[in-house]
Amino acid sequence: MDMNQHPRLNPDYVAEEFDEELLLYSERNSSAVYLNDTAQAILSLCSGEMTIGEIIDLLENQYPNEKKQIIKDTLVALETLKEQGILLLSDDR
Amino acid sequence: MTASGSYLINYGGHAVEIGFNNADAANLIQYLVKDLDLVSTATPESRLDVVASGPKPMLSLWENEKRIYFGDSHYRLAEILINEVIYRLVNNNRKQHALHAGAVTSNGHGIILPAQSGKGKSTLTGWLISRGYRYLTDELVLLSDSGQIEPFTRPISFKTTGSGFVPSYLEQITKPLLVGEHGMMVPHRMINNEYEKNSAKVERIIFPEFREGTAVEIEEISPTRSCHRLLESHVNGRNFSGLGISGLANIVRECRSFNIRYSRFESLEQFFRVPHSF
Repeated sequence: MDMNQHPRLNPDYVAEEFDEELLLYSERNSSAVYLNDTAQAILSLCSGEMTIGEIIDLLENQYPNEKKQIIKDTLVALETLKEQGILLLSDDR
Repeated sequence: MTASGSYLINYGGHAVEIGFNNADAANLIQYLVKDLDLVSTATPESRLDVVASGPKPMLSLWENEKRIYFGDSHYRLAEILINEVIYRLVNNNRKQHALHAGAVTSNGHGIILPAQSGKGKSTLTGWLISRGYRYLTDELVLLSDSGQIEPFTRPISFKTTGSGFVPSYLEQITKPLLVGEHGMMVPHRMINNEYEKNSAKVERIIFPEFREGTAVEIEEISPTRSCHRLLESHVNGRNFSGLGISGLANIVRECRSFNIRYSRFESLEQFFRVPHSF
């Protein structure tokens, strides 16, 4: 993945928050996606403001003892969300 | 002798008219729709016609000049007719959530069994009513935003393809049924004749999966997972313009939800013994 790209939620998706869980639904695609805790935490940072690199830096600073795992988990989650059409990536904010 | 005529079905505020040309056609339609809301006045969104002719008889299903079915199988025509009617009744419904689901009640508690075809919702629905639950539907429900169930009440449709599994509660039934190569439609009163039209608010959501040879697995799931699974069975989700998921989520939050996987009904006896406690 290009670390300089800015991920943001595809506006086709509506987020429905439950107590500690999140469900995303797209009427256009008739698809629903259940997000686990990790994906939810990462998605909350995907406002289009930060780059992928900046998101990873932020998470590494928050969890300094789990740096390697953070990078792996974040990239896997972002790749999965992108493939599912939930995240859009752009070069600019 | 019954002359030609028609039945007007109202479901969820939408109406479909089904015409017939003689007693054979009328009897077949009556067999399928007798527990639905048959009205004398409504503006139908479309009209279908069942035509029976000849001694055998040969059957056909029409929408205007378009022939949808022709053949001698009452079962096959019934199956197609029901699907066509359901599509026309829910396609433009923007007020209720249409879900592929069986549904029953017990002491006023509503239970829905959402599943896609082949997961065993009809056989489980049939088993539940054989155990004293009250029948609503084996195929489709409409849910209002308050969770009130409006069932599409029809004969129970058992598929006999796949595993070839025939539930033991059907063994007692000897009267003629609507039987085809791949299944049969059984009037629910033949399984439990204590039927009166009823409805309820949904309180339990059970996602059934019949899988031959597996041990029973019962798992309570969170509202989020339940809503996710419910959307897989949602028929008219595109009609809700952004608000649908919230309405559905509010219904789910008021319910308890379970995944159940089973291969033998006996293994479900305890779970379903006292429905309002699970």
